[in-house]
Amino acid sequence: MTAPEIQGKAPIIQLEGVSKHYLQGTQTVRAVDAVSMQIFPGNFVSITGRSGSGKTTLLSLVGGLTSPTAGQVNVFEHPLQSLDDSAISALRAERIGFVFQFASLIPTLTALDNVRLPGLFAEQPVEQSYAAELLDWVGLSEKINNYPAELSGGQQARVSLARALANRPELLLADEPTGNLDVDTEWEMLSLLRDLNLNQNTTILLVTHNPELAQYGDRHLVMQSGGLTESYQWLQAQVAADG
Amino acid sequence: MKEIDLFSLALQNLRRKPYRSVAIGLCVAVMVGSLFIATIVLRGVQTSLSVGQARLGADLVVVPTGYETPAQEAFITGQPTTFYMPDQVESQIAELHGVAQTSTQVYVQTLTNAKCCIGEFFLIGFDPETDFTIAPWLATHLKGKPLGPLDVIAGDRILLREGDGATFYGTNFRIAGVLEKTGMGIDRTIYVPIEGLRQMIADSYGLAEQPLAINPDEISSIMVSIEAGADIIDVAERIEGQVEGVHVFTASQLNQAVARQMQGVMGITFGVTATLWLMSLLLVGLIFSLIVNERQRELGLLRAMGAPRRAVFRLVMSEAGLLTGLGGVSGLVISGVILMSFSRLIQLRLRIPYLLPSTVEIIAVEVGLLILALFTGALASLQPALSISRLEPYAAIRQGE
Repeated sequence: MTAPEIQGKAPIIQLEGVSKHYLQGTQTVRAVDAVSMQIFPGNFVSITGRSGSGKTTLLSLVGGLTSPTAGQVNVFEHPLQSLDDSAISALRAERIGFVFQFASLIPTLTALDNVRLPGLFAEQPVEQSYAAELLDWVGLSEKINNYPAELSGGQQARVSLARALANRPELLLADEPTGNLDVDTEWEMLSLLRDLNLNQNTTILLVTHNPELAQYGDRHLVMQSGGLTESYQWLQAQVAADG
Repeated sequence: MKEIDLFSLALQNLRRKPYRSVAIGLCVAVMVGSLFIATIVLRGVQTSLSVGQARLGADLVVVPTGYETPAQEAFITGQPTTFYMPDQVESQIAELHGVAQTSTQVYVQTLTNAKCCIGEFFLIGFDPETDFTIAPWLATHLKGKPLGPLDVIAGDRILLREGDGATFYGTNFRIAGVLEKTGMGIDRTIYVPIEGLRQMIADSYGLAEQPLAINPDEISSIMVSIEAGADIIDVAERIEGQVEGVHVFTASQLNQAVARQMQGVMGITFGVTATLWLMSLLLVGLIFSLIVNERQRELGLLRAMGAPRRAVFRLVMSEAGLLTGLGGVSGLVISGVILMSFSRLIQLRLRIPYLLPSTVEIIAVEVGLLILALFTGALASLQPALSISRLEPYAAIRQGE
């Protein structure tokens, strides 16, 4: 499965026959089953699928948060299986950003310090001015000194997005970032992601349960029972555009 | 704005559950504080015993058979006692191989509620010509001034001071000096030159309500110093084997009685403290397992942000170290204040002259106990820290949901 190829550029993510199986009681669960795909720099790829179809597991495999049972995961041309914990951690600290469905901000740190937190694990600390800039970009310039308990769910989600961008990642992995938000905030978040992709050329892999949101990506993949296919609607749209 | 580092993050984490943090800190504080007090008191007892042993001056003390217990009590606590044996025993002992020097003593108990005496005291008549037990002290403190027959030396816990007068059995004595504290019976004893004591015995028939019936050829004990290189036990056995009707104490035996008594008390104290330590270890371990379980998702997210395993391990260990370190410091400060405030009371209750060791020794004990507190934290949180740092970030995030 190949994404719109960027002329002369190597894929930023390349999966070859990747599977993740685990035992649940006596049954083997095939969370991800023989998935192959390529994503190129600057792509905005959405993955939809039913709950339990393996979307989050796939995202975690790409981010090196778990290792595959079989197959090869290459990120930034690094085969993750051959990297040790320090190297994978460094890759995450310097080049990958994560946004999760739950904001999980550190309750004892202000919004600003939560955004600066990834700098603790990177080579360069996150400058205070840059963290403030990010919070301004997500519309929270007035809330930089507020603690998470003083923020709404939507505001926490936006701080979480700002935190994911603190290390200026080339790749953003977003797992249901709008899952717990109201419709308005959901669209605001999507607009921020779109802006990031267009203006910063950040590669985005977005997992969402909402097929409507998925339409805003360059490419829409569907996960079903551990397998990954191109979305029929997206393929149709591509054919129409070509034709 | 302050920089974010693992240490400040650990400190912030502890502030999240202040009551729980305080409870763990308090537990460690009690453990460290108890250990500190127990160690210092034990050290004080040991110092007091060794000083007392050194002050006794004699290698062996010979008393008549059958009076071992009152003799031991007299040496240890200053409880007045009287027993006598013929003075010829001294010459028999002096001739034995390994004996370097001997000096006799005569014990007298003063009367209570009698016009002739100022209170109940334990008087020891000693021979300034042959004495080697308090003679070194006399040489230092009297600075060459001769000790008259009616000049007496008082132990530290006798409420008489230099220059005071004291009447025993109608004879007036003068306090020529006060001995330093020893923690032994010497502190409750008045040393009288034998000439003055014999005069007091003779005059008691006319001046005291109850005369002293002690024959001039009777003595109570013989202080023995052994020759250099001689084996103390061999000499003691030789005396008991060759001189009839005597029992020999070694200086260390006298202290061992006190030491045994104190060891019992300290054994219980250390037993309780060891139990406290074990409980602290289990409590800190249990709570850190809970903390790690509660924050599994958050720690997984830190991994997702790029924290390597060692950073998560260090974060958990730092929290444990901070908590047990702060608890340990609090325990040391509180127990130090308690020890300083009640040092006199402790000394009086335990009857020891020395309690607080030198500042260097106190600091060494404090540093040692602080290391123990940190070690306790490290040991207790090792398993939870290892387990969370080894968990795949994905599993940590999912299991923590």
